[in-house]
Amino acid sequence: VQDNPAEGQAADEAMLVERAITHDADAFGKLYDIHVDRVYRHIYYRVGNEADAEDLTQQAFLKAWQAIDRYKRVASPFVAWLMTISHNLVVDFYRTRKDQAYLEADILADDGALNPERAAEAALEQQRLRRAILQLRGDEQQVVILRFMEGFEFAEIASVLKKKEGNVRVILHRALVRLRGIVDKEVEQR
Amino acid sequence: MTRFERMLAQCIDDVKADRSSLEDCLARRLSVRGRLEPLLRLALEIRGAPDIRPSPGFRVRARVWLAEQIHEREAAARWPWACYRDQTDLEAATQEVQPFPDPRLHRRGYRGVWCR
Repeated sequence: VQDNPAEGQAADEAMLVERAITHDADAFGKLYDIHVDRVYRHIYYRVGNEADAEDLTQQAFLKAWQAIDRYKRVASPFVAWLMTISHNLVVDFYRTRKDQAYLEADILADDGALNPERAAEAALEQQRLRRAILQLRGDEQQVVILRFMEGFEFAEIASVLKKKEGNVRVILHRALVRLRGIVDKEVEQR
Repeated sequence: MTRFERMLAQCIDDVKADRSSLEDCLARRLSVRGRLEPLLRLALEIRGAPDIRPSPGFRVRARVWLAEQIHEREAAARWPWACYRDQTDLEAATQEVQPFPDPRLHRRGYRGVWCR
């Protein structure tokens, strides 16, 4: 019996991963249930529309199943590994589509659902910010999304991007400088 | 990585983990406050959109689809003949490939030349 629920969940997940590695489809299904929201959200942030996010989410899990033999638990958490697969799929997605005009209106999620004026204002700011984030380059965008929107630690991001932690911090700094520039420019134009 | 980059990352970590406030962080780094503050404020403004999640319909559809894909692949791995559409395919293939490939190859992801 686990005293700490978070530890208990981690232990359960570790057990599911062990079973999935032995090609236990039920265990993999449970891992899907645990992580599908997060994988979907991550992909959605980057492609900006529901249809592509759904398609890529399905593909991400299928690829994970196909490569499950190669997953090493000690090297990175399972969710980080899923994010690596998702990241590669998004990169391929844009490589084949060529056009970069991926920011659809629906990325500007319905933050205004809270309704009061201040909430609406804050939601608008978040929308502007997310739009600016989508103007960042590949790795910079990925680091900002993982750190601030997905709540990943630097070590986890390093494992997703297969870079050193120090490099992730360098990318983050560069990304924030560029983002500041984009946001300030937009404010000037308003 | 420069000292400034390390400080920026440290401040972000501390504020996000409630170990420090933004003001405390800046006060401890007066020499770089001018450079640090706009980046730190921006970083701490960025939040996810918790309401973005897949529709319940998609969750179920995708899970069923995934189960089917897995089942097909596993069946093919255990019993490669499952890939043949009919007896003619099977007969044609048996003339070209060995009928019972080494199961160790399947475990390594090999699906046979007939299962493309």
